[in-house]
Amino acid sequence: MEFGVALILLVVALAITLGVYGLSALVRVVRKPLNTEPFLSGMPVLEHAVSRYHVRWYTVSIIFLAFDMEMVFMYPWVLVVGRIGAGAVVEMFAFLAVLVAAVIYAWREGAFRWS
Amino acid sequence: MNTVSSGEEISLDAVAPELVLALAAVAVLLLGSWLPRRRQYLAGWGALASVVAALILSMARLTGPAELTAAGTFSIDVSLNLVRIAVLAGTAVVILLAGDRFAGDKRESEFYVLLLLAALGTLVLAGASDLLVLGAGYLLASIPLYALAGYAKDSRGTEGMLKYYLMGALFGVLLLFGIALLLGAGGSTSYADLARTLPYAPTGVAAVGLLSVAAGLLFKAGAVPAHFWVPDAIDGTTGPAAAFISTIPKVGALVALFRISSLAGLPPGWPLILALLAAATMTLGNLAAFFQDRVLRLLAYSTISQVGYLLMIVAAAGHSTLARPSLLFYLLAYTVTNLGVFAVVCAFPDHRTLNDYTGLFRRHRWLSLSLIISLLGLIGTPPTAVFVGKLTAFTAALDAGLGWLVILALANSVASVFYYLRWIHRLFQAPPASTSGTTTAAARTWGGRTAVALAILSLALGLSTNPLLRLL
Repeated sequence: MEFGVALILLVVALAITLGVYGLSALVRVVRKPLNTEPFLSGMPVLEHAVSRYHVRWYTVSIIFLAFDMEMVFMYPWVLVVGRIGAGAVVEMFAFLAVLVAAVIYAWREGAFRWS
Repeated sequence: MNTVSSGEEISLDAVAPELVLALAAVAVLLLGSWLPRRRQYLAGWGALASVVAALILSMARLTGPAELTAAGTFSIDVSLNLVRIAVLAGTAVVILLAGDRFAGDKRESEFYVLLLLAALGTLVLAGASDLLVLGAGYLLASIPLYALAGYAKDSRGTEGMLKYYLMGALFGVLLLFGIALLLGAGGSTSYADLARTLPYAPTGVAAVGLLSVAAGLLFKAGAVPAHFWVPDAIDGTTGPAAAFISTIPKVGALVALFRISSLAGLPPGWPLILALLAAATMTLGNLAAFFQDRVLRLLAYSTISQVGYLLMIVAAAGHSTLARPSLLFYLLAYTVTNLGVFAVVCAFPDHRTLNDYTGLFRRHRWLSLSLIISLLGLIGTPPTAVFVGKLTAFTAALDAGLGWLVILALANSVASVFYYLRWIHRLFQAPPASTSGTTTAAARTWGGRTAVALAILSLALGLSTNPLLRLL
């Protein structure tokens, strides 16, 4: 019984969950769900939660990936750049130049045009 | 290969062809962003110049010693050098074909950038001697091709692209899953370490991991469990993109699969699994090609059956000394011959069905002749290059004790004569009087020239086999 403990935990978890549901069914006053608006940090909700948004956001999020990847590779780089020296700096900036080329291409294609 | 030297640093000298391609892709992308549309052809010439420069660099290193670079993750040896030549020459041909088709197109320079990136990914696939580099190469060779497949933005192209993309995503996930399993089983992703540790690893986990990695590579090669995208992607897309997709990535994927299959300590049933996949691939490709009327769809199924013959050599890996030279020669011959057929198809972009080729021999004698040579080459008729490829492939499979597979491959080769001859037969038929006015389209210049050159090259390769095979 390698997984015996896990099975007992599963049974306990199910029992507690069902117990809470049963308790709430016993003590509730009205059987109607409470209608509340989705939470929007205190702002009034102006649109539906699954409303459609402009296709432009997809290009923006792809451009974001260029900067995101930059950071992903820079964190480990920071830890070793002092030890490796100038070679690591040159390599990282060559990598950044390639990413910036992608951003420049996106800019020329009009991905930053907001009108 | 006991004398392989291994460096921790990336040797920029050793990977110069790949470096040239990567820099050229970035440069052409930026160049294309500022060039006016009527000067976009300059981007094409730039891409062609970089591919030719990379080709010269790899020719110069052809006979150099084998070495491992980048901490043993990338191996530069005869296999990679030959793949470089095949892939770069093939990419140069496709750039020429694309110049005909897309001159003045809105996104002309992007087409060249995507070609360069996909060629770079193919080279990374072929040189990878570490599973993580293999995974990166898979993504780099796949993603530009999805965009190329849907380049024309018509409904057929979009359908083919979506199928290609979804299959690619599925098999890419399988590949990564397999890498994770092999890392768990063998404790490393490097081929050299895996060859040491896999014999002591749990067989089940290693076998599932190996099969999943192979699934990703079979997708790139367009072999049977992963072949569903091939007809739709190739038939739906434009001629030059179809030529590239059906030829170049297969070269890298098959060499990568060969590298993995020749590792020591693989599960004992591995060659049999590959042999069964080869048998299924060649038979299914042939049977499906029989009554196709659309030219590109017929060629798509013909490429599937060719991959079947090539997989036969991969199944013989490690059991026959002839296997590696045979695979490399066949890949080179296949690249030349298949691109030769596609060059003719690109020369007549309006000829979509076999009937459109009726009576072509009277109007375009040289083009028809080169089409016939290339088609006979794909069958494996004696003086052409693929004949030698097939012959060495059969010998390698016999050496490895796969006699039944050789018999099946022979039967398939005979059967394939039918559908290639159906096409050749059309060339000599008298054109129907009613449509003779509409089908007298002029041939595109570069498509025609490259078709003739490739047909001559396929004959020359077939006739100069011995010195080349000795080199491999």
